[in-house]
Amino acid sequence: MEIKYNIFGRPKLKIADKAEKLIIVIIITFILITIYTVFFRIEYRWAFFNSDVALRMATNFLRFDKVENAKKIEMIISLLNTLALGFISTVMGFVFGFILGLLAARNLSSGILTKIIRSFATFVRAVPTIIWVLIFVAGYGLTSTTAIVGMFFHTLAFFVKSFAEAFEEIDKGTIDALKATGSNWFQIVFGAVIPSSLTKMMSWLAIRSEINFGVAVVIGPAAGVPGTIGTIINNASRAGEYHVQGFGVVLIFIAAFIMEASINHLRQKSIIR
Amino acid sequence: MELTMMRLLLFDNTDNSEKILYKKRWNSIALFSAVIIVTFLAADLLDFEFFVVFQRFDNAAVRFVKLYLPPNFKELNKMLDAIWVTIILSIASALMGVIIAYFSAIVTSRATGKSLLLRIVFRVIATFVRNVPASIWAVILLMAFWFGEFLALLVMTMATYGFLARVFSDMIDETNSKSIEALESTGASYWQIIAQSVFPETLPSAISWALYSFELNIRSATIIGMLAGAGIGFLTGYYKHFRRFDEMFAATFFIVITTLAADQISANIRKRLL
Repeated sequence: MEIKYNIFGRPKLKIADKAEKLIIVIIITFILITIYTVFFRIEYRWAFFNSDVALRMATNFLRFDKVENAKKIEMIISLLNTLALGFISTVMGFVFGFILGLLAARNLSSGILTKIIRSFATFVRAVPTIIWVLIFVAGYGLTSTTAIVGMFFHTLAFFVKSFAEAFEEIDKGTIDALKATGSNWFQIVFGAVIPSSLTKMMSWLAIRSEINFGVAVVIGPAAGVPGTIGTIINNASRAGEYHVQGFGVVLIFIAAFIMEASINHLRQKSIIR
Repeated sequence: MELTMMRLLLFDNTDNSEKILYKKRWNSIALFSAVIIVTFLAADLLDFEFFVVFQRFDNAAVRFVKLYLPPNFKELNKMLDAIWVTIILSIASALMGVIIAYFSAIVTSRATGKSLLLRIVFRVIATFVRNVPASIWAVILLMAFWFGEFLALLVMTMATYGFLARVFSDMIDETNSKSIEALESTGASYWQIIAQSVFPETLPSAISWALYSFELNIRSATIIGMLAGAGIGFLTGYYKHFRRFDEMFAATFFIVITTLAADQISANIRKRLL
């Protein structure tokens, strides 16, 4: 029998064949579209490229000594506001997402309810968070409550989908055993569902808190919510105060870095246990 | 003698495990109450009133219907062009981000990284890029690069790079070290090892990640486009700015369709890849 070799000089296996063709097709499509985009589609506005601004930005970016103390305090408070915005919407989304996730899991709920909740969640997730915020702003006016509700809406849908999937992966035997002992629905939830999917829920929570922090940061410049760090950075950028901008970016970086590090720490701990 | 020892051990064990259980329960109660307290503090800080949403619901619904309905598809061609730009920008930035992240991962991975200094430098860069949200990069770079598709491409490439640099570094760490050793013993050069062992082993999952980051880029394209001035996000922001909400609603309709389609296509292809 003749042995065929693939593009990497390895013997071809029948199973890998289809996937390999698919990979080649995808790579070629991606490369062609990228070439088209980069060389033929994008308008380069080098006439607008301001080397003077770039230079001033680079030299002033880390000059924190130029930022006044009052401004520093204002920025730290606005960072706290931003964190609070992300925190509230995440916590609320987690609580309600957990409840709806239970009702959307096929092994814990039944029939038409699952389908309704799932299609609702899919639709809400497909609309970007910022659009939800804009829609709520149109209805209720521009306050932080509106921003939180907009963010909560998207977070809720995110958690419903991911939690329902996590709940569906629970071993069927555990639920059946509990049912056989005559446990009711709440006993099944607290005895089997929560303990066996806690780690997964925590990782989804971690992912979403990072996303929500990012949204909370940008909700200022995009939707016009006042009092967040994004607004201050945006104004500083327009006013040419690059030292303020740099200080804000470093604050955001520190907050996000602490969050990421603590999440990693928690995750490792829970895996060991 | 032995029996007492065993009893002691047993006793010790039960005592210990009870202690651990007790401690765990205490920990979770403490965590739970901390979360509640922080939530109320945060709500107080922001003057958050949840019930306003229900109280003024009818008013808001009336305003929503008046402002947004019916959707206005007058500028259909413009919207379709913007959607097309969004899609190709997402693909191009996914590919470019994957390539940059891959090379950076080769440098930073423990299995293939040669120089400690380069490893640290690239790790610091990736951490910084990842932890500052992409939209903030758009705001920062706006003044130097000005509005346009190029800025959007740059920002989305940075976002993809930041996200994938760590993923790829872990992925290369997990590659089979035996094949690397085997190639080393035959006297293969560094780049030969990368090309013959690391690259073919990681290619399918790299492609899968590229598709996934295309999906993420489509999702984040609205907000990045709004700030960087490209694609459907720019159009949405433009309509919002001039209070043309019926047209914004039509643009949102296209965003939803594109997002759902991109999700489906990329999920299907990824299922067939792995």
